[in-house]
Amino acid sequence: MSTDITISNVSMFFDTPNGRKDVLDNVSYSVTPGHFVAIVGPSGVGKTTLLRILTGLTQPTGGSVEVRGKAIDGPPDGLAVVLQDYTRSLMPWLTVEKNINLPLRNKKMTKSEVRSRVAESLAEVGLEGTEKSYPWQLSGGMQQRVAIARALATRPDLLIMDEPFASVDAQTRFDLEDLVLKVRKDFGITTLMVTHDIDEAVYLSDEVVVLYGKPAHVREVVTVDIGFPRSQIETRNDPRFAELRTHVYSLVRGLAEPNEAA
Amino acid sequence: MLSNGSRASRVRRLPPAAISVVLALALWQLATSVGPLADLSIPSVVETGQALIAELSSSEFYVRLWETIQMAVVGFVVAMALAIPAGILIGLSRFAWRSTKFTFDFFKVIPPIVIIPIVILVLGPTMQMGIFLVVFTLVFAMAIQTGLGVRDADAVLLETMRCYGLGTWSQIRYARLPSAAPYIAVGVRLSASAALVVAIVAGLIGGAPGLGKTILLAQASGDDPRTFATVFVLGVLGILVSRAVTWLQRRSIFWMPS
Repeated sequence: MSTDITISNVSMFFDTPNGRKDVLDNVSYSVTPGHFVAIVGPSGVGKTTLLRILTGLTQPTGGSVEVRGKAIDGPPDGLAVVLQDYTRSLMPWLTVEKNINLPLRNKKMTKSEVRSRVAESLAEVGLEGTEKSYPWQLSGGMQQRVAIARALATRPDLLIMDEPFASVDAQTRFDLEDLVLKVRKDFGITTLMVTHDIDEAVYLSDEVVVLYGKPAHVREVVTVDIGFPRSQIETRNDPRFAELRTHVYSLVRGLAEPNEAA
Repeated sequence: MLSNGSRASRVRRLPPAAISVVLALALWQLATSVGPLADLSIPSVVETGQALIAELSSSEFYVRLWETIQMAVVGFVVAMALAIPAGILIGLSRFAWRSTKFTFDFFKVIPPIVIIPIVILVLGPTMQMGIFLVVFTLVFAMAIQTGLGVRDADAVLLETMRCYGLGTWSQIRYARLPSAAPYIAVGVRLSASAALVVAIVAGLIGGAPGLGKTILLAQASGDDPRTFATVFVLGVLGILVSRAVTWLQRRSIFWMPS
């Protein structure tokens, strides 16, 4: 089967004043093209470290990451990111439009192509007509939508999201989750997301990767066998949803043994 | 809508300021005419006012005022033109930052008065001396301030840009320079006020031309009302400079709540 991202025996340690600290131990996993994968685990387990390795911002101390068959030593082409802290990843001195078209500078696109790409992306996230606003004039949820629009405007092959909805209120969070499902339906971008919210992980994903232990390893890859489309009311009331979230929860809390050797 | 709000608050702010000014003038007048400063040679409000009117109607005064403004402005502009690009460059390179920071900090803390004797020896009591003093006082602190701003660019923002394949030049232009702008603005504001002070000190202590020298001469000849009138003019000048720079800052760094 073809894979988009292959994580092979990735290990990571940091040298600290208190000696060597092992964070990741032989993490291996392959992502199927077009899949949405959530990475969960207890807090401090190394989820974000793994994500940074996948973006190419950090080099692992052992093992390798291949994107479409090529080992990466920096951010791969076609990568887009959505981070938890939108106030820090958007530029307050640029309008929404300029924030979104900044990553398009490297692509050979005419001005009118760029303009229509920005408008399309804003329409996709439901923010038509906000081009000339500044990020700080928008609500938190809207700012995160801008960050998602910026990601979509680059037509990415790979979308990486680090706790993207952790800084917004619960209602906005549900809205953004449904926005992500719509983006998945419309674009089918291979997506990796770190989250500490297990319900969210199960609700959005094809597969949930559970990291566990110190140093962390892949405890189990849970396949979410719930069909699409999903909805906040029906999916979350599905008995299978309850089973899966309970299983993932037990794995994250270290209460259950994995179903099979992962 | 925003400008309306600030205009309204400005109107509301004015009366308290006016009250405190009137009160201060009244206390001054009372202290110098009735007591406890009545026996000293400190001029009263009325005497100072008369001297002020005399000053404002003499052409000599405007020549001196212009000399002070010239020294302050030329020194300020030269210092900014040197310090901001230098600060950006040393802020961009960790090595350059580490190797210059100590030296710049060293020069930064030398008060301008200390080097006046040396500067007088080289340049004499001239406008050039005043300008040099202004530049020397501002340039090191401003370069460090700019460098700090460039270095303070948000790591999350820079990493986001890297993920999107934006290179060093884009990171400088779209992240590091805008991040430095508030630092530069604060530096510019403090520098503008300091430039005026140093231009006056250059005259007062070093004998450079301008209103500083006017004070020096008025003091030497015991003309206290004239001294006070000149000090008053310098106070007004200082307020105007600081207001103007604050106004500019609000307009250029619109994304920061002031």
